[in-house]
Amino acid sequence: MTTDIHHLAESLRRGQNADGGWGYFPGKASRLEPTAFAALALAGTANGAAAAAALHQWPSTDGLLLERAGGGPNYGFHGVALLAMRACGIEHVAGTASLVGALQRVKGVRLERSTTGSQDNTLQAWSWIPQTFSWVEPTAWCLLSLKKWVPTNRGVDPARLDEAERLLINRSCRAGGWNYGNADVLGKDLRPYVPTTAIALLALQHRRDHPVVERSLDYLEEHATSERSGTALALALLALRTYGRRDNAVRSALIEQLPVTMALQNHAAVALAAYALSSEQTYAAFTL
Amino acid sequence: MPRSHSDGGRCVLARRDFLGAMAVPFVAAACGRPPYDPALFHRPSMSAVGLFPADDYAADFAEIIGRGLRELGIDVRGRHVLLKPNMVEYESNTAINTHPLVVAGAALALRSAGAADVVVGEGPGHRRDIEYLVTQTGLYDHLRENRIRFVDLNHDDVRYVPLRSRFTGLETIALSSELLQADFIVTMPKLKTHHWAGMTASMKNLFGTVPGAVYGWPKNILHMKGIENSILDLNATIGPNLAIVDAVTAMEGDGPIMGNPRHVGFIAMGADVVSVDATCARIIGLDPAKLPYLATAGKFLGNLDVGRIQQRGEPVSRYATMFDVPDHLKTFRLKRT
Repeated sequence: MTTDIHHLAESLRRGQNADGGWGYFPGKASRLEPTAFAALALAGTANGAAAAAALHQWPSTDGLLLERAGGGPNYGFHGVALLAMRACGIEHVAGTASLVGALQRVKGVRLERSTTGSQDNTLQAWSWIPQTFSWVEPTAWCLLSLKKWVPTNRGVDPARLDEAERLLINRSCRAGGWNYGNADVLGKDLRPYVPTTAIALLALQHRRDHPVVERSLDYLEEHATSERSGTALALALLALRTYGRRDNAVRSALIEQLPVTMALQNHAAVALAAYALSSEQTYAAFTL
Repeated sequence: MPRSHSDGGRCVLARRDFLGAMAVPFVAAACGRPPYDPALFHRPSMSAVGLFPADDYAADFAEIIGRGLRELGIDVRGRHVLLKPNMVEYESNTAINTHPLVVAGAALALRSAGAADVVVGEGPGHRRDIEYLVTQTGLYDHLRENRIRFVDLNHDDVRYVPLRSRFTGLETIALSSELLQADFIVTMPKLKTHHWAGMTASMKNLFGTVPGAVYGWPKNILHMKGIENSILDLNATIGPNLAIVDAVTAMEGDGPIMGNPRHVGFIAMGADVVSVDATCARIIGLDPAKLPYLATAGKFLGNLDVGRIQQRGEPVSRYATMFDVPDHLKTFRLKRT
């Protein structure tokens, strides 16, 4: 086990770019999401300090973090970065409050009620990118992130959190859990996925008595090992541990999956697996 | 459901009622000026499309595709090839994805034909978790066994390139660096009905080249700008060199994910993706002239008319059938005499 974690950490260390960040894959330009997850996984090490420095100075415009290659913001990754900054005690050079504020100003577009599904399209949470629709994953990351920043008095608006929670509840699949987007389309139920369910459950951990959360947790506990990947198993492990559910089988499955995760070399997946498997972690970055 | 249509090929209207994200049709920003400069595109006088039998997935796809390369006169010597399969979602006993044996067979055939290198790249449209997809579909094992490199097009480095047509109204698009470095791009779809676009094959498959890390999932910007518009701009800009269609077991009904497997038994190949898709449409009982993106593509990207398509391998009649389609797509059906 210690060897597994050592190999993951070593793989991350080797993949760190000179600018302190990580691309999704070795030799690629530093990107926000893998850098944020790697900062979490390597917190307290020299590489983690370099990652913290990279996040501290990460390019931004009007409080929204941007990729160095250009293009617009990705709200989901902004949320992940804020989560890592909160956990690692990183302040952004532009003022972290401005990053928190900017995330609250942006919303997914509001649409008329769907003609092809049961969901309430008037709810606005977070889209991946500007001027598009709210989806489960960016909403869940941004919601969890803002909840983590509530105690720091950075001006988190409870109304935004409430609407995001309502959107996630509205989007849950009939049998529990979350697809990446809709619960149904053209009258057919869509099936939930493990990673999106795990992230949404992390974001809703304050609502554990809600029937949707209970159903979704049951779904995750039953299906956590059905999606074999470093990302899916690591997120499932984090969510189940956060809710105090059984996680031994997921932990074993993740360890079994590591050779493939390492071979595919996605730094975000490697970092999540390293964080989830670390025996020293209390999963503080993801718990409220 | 809002319907798309073409207005003489000048501008395709968008369908916005997709997955709840789009509710009101709008006219692409390119309307008011021609969405493409005809001088930039060369439509061949004739296009060859090959149909090669493959009864099941036990077939020798390296041999079948190698034969196709020879019969179609495709020269890949010294080329840096990127194979773009269609890998969307995993469900056992379905026909959602290009079969990994077809992908591996294509890689081996192209290597044998002299390609300098062959990589496989995909950026799934709604599943972010590529590790799950490549392992669950079995592709990972074939890639490893044949030492084929895989590129995650959703998360690769990107470069912004100008679009060569303006159906979406966008000026530029971010594309994977590895995709742009390749000098021979092979689109390798699974032949399926598509509940919004009518059919998904070689052209629609290019949605998976758009980086989700930049545009979100399910490639939001493309859906907002219109599926047909995006198909046209992507094909005009990327200009795939070859299509290899997995139509051994295809999908009918509520595709591209929730439809039913349908055995057809062939691999389609051709350098003109419009001709390949038009041929596939005719085989499954859809009229390519009624599929908005294909009808428009037939005006500048490739050949749609039967009279401009040279058939190689098996005749269309050997495989011609009528796929089940959702009710709203029945107007796309071919009127067979």
